[in-house]
Amino acid sequence: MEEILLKYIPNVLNAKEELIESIHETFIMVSIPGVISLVLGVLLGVFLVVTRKGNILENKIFNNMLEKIINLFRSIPFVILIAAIIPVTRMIAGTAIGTKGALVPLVFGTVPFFARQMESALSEVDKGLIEAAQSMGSSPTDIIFRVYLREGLPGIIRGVTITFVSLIGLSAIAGSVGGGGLGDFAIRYGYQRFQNDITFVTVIILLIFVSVIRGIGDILIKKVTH
Amino acid sequence: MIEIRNVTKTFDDGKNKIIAVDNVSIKIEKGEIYGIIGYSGAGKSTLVRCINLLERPTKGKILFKGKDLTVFSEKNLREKRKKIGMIFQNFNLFNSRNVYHNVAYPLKGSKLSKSEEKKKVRELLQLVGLSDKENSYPSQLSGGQKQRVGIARALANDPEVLLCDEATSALDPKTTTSILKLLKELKEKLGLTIVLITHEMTVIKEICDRVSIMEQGRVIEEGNTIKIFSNPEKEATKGFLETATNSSKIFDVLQLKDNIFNIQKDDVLTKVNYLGDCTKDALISEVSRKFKINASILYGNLEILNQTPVGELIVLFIGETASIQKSIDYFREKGILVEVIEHGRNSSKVYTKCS
Repeated sequence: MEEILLKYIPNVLNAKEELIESIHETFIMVSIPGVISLVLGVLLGVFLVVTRKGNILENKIFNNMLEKIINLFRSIPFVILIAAIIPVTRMIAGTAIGTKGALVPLVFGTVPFFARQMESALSEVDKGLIEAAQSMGSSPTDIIFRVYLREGLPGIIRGVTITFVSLIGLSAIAGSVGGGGLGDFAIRYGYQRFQNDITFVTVIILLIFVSVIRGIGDILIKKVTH
Repeated sequence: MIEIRNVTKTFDDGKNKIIAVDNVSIKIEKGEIYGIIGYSGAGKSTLVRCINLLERPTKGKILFKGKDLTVFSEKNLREKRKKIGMIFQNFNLFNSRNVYHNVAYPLKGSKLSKSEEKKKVRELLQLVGLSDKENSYPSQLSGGQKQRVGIARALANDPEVLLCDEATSALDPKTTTSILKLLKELKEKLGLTIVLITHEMTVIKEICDRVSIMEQGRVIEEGNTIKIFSNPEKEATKGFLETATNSSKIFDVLQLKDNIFNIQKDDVLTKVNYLGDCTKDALISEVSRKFKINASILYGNLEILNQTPVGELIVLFIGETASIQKSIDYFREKGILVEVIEHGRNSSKVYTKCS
């Protein structure tokens, strides 16, 4: 067994400890910003939908502002965003480098994306259901929690899955500019030192990450769809 | 129970102004089933949404038990809405909840304990005949069953009024009949007042006590269902009636060139409408004997509306012109509406005066 590994992935074995450390860093860069974005994204997604024209908490000015801000952040390429918000990152995280420094830009990069995913998931909730809830005397809060977030759950989970997968991509970019993690690992060893086996193993690991996230998402969607 | 007073609803998207409901006033009495019929786009759905203020009227008042809903605060309005149930064409059930939890949805905040809630939901499901479907999800139900769940859910807070927005339009005729029967039962059992929107005259015929006909946002004719059926005034109303009967087809046949009924030039073709008591009199044979004419029934249609027979016949009178005139006068004396129809072969001297 060891012989085979030595033959095919010698460099990976040499950098074993660093690889494990990288996996750990990627895990942090996906999970922490992921959870924060989840909360903020759901919040913004809900606001985007309910303040729309004709909806339960119609508010043209607020909706317009939110749209503009989200579009602004969505249109900045992530690599540039990392650099652009360095002062903010320093203010929040205390540092702009390392894994810790990558968390803030990751949140900024993910929240607008996830908010849009939420918006589309919640927009899929049949208008008739909102009308029915209103006719039964439900308040706006009731409608948000008992109708939108509940009936939109399959779409929300789909959005969460897509967001986490894209977050893995963003974490690799953040890594390459100093955040650590699997992206950084692959660039430094695989790309810059021409150790192709490292790139290959990294890809496999990332593929497993993505498949696990997708798999969990699919199971949950199946569970909440009746 | 409900009074819609001078209600106007306009939609204005900045460019176009659409008047969906145009100065409509309707009074709906307690315990009646009130129908509003109109083609799509007539404004009837908007009107029914004005009643529980899902659409806020641009002008006018909605009085619910004498109180104007349009001046209520959102919070008070929500309380009032619990007393006005509503069911929909597409049922609008929560797909993520099973039948039990769909019916229990509006009970949240009603201060019922878990066991009381259970009892209430079971009662409601029994009322609509779905006791065995408690744990099913909407996707596992047929259209008729879904609407029954919708009805149970709408009744959860013991409303006094039930609004039905095209509630049977997505159902097949047999299921429609069973849902209408259920609504009628509920009206009797719970003393519900029902407001029903539809584009199907058969629905009106089946259960409505009174009916309004809507066209382009306005109520063009209103009255007792029997009156509307037996003696419609407006063209649009007649159009709807024809959808519920075959009488338009007989006119098509009469227009045909080959004269399949072999109508002669002195024959008089009439449309005879009657209702109620005179149904039992053998009037056709009576005039036939009395005035020595022949009366041939080319077509007949008999409806029973609220236990009252309402009939329409196409009768061809054959005989002497004077005798035919006398027969028609005799019918009219008995309170029967007789309308002479041009059949294209009339001689000029015959009656043009119609009722």
